[in-house]
Amino acid sequence: MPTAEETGMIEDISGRIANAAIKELFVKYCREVLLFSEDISPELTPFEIRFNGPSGFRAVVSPYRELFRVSIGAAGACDIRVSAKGGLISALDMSLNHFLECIEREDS
Amino acid sequence: MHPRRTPKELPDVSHLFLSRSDPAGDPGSGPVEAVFWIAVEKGFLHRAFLASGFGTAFAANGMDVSLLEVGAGLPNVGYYFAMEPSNYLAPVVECGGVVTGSPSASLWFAYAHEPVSLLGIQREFEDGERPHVILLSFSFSGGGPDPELLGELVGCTVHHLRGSRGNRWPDGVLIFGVDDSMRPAERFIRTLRSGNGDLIVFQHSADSAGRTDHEVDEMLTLPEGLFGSAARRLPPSDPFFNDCAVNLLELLSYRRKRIVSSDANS
Repeated sequence: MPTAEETGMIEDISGRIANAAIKELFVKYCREVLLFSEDISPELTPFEIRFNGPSGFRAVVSPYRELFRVSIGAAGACDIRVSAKGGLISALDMSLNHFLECIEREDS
Repeated sequence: MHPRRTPKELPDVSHLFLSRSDPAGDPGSGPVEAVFWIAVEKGFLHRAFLASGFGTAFAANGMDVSLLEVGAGLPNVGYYFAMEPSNYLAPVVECGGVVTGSPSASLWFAYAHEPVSLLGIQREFEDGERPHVILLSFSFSGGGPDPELLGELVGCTVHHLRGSRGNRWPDGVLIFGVDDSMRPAERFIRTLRSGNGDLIVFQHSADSAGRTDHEVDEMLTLPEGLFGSAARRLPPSDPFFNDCAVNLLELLSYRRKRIVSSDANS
């Protein structure tokens, strides 16, 4: 489970999103990424939250008024704009796949 | 795992398992079933990977398999059985719910965050004459599942049995942990053994000399590179899974026969 500090971090930056439904998707995304592994740590900047994990896992989430953007991979190789459940599903699926690829690299 | 001179396949030992050896000893007393739990310590990332590998190994060798997985965190078994993201992610996106699927005629799986969610569902494959294996995979922390969770896991097992209902503890448990010594699992094993004195315990250790303070039937050493296919949307097919399944069934068969023999002698 995310720590109280991590939860607070997510709640703080989610305040940038005006739409309550999108804010809920944002919180779900962040909480689920933290559940991938205890080794994933969030880093808060004024405009985004960065998740860094083992073997180069990286996801950067930038909240806006009506959506949030997820950049997956070291060079932001994949960008997903989330404004509905379909976007959340894509963002989670691709983030999970990226995380597992990082685990594979660690094991091989 | 100890090296084998001649690798065995499940059919080599399934005749032992098939020769009904429940304590009643009555060939017509009910379906041949076995229950194995896959207990994965929180922090060990591969609950679903292991579950899908074991489920596939049993099913590929003529057993009907009900593969149950509970616990928070991704991936779940739906990922490894190549479900559409909208399906395997439904419990996350929709806040709850159950993921189910039948990758083959003899394998059915169900995933939910909580064991109670698996109580209201029924298997989606036809019950046949083949032996039935229930695999229940879950995460634990600290000294093992708390009594409430343990009760729910047993309830979940009982719900999916074909045969006699009742207080059904697992026949065996495979424990995978992040701690080499796995001392935290002691209380858990003691509790399970209080329900089933013949419980088979296979425990993962980072090295073959892993230390425990409780009796273990087999220390499991994971093959190097086992998780090298962790991102593939396919169940793993490493021989490790088949070897484990064979060893579990072999031990179970001998133990059941021993019980029958001792009942007959008394």
